[in-house]
Amino acid sequence: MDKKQILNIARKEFSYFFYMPMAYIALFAFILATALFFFVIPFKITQPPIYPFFILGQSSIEGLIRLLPYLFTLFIPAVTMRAFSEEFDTGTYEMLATLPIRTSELVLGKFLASFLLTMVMIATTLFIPFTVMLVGTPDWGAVFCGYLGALFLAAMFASIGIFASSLTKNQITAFIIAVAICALFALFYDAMFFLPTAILTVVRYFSANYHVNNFARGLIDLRDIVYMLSVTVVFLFMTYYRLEIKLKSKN
Amino acid sequence: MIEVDNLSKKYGDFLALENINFSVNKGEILGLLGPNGAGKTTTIRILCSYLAPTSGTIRIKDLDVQRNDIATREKIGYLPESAPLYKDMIVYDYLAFIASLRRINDQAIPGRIKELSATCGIGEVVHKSINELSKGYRQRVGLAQALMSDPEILVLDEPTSGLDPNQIIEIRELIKKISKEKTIILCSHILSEIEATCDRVVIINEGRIAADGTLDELKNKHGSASYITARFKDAAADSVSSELKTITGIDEVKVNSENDNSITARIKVSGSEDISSAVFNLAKSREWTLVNLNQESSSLESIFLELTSK
Repeated sequence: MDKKQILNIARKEFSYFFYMPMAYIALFAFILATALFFFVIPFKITQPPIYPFFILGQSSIEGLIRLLPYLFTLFIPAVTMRAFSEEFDTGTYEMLATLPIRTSELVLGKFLASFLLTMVMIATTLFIPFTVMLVGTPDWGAVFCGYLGALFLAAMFASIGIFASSLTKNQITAFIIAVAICALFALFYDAMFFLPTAILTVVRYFSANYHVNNFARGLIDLRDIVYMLSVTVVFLFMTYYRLEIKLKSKN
Repeated sequence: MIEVDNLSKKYGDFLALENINFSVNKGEILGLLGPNGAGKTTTIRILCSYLAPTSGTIRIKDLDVQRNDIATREKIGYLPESAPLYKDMIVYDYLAFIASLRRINDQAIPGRIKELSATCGIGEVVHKSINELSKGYRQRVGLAQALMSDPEILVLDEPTSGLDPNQIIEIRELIKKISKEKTIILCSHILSEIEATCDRVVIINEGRIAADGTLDELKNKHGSASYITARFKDAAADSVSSELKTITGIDEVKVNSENDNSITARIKVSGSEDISSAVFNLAKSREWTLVNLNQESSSLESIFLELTSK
């Protein structure tokens, strides 16, 4: 693999995204949704519910980090859906894939660009800890942990989005597939509430929320990091094989 | 330069290519000709290692394109059909992106783009968005993209499809201009295009090679029948038809009465006898006025129709 080729792809993808109004709409909607749920609307899908800042009155951003799996389920697929779908649809993939570039470089380049984009999304939420700071004294260690968790989660969901995008030339279909997979990871834990506790302690390891919640509480646990990185790598590998099989099968 | 060896490709049960063999020499312009769906694009996609063959190989300078995909792609500039481009990008940014993937170093990129803009005639649109370009300009940008690394081999898939007649001529001129030091494979179902630009022609039909040779070779080999059209005045259609048939070497005569009381005879000739003189002498002896006598040379079109309509 050639690092330079990965960066060439990533640079173009990242800047290409900002050529389109979609980017600004998605970012604006994300900021709006984050602010609403963090400050105003109670989020009761999950257990325990995430109460808004103004009701709870705690100077912590735990609620923000715990919200992210749900918000990312919608917003990350929205920014990754075009990654490969658009190229298949317009035929530019053929041109790209016949340049002297490896499929692995292409996948990593696209992933890196999407990840950078989600970092921009995450960066827009930074006004929240600073708002919290105005009314109280947040634990900056916990804030750092929370944001670290957010980055791992973003990487995981971005790789899922890229994979979904490699399956179809229709961006909407790619979006729906990615939302479905992300929702599985985000809602899994909440949906399994009826299971006995003994089973639940095993099952929860597969849920993204369980690991994100650890970060949100200010814990850095190697197991959480390993989990999120593994899922990311698995989906990147699946994307790679998908692209290789699509074209390189002999029949 | 390029060796295609026993190449076959199946899509599920559909056999798109069946044991294709041909080679392309250095500096040659090869026309890959065939009706739509004959397997031209499949062949080209395997050449650019975009698709994998079911069996057989393509070698470029003794490198198998499957095993050495990156190395062989570096030698090829490829313009896919209908020149797919990133519509929202500025032409310059697009070409810079391609240049970076072609491993042209950053300092050399602006110079290279300037050179290509001059060669391909896109100087005045280089700072426009690709969205705003006409089809002809898009094709030129696609061509500039293919020429970026100054490749030894240039592969063009239907480079003039969807263009207006003026644009077609411009693109052909451009291809001729850059053809001097390159090996070119030009894929087309438009016969006049191949005839105007190519040294050699490979005709593909239903996944098989129907003919391979220079234009002259193909005309000699497959164009055995040729036609003469003659127009007479002061003659009766019946007698023209029956008397022409008495000349040896004439197979078939189709007679048409025209509006101005003249008669046109389309004469199918086999063999290489001098039929024109015989027709002239016949007209003289019968006192028909011979207004026009025209020998049609067998065109690529008739060869193509003969080979692909079985």
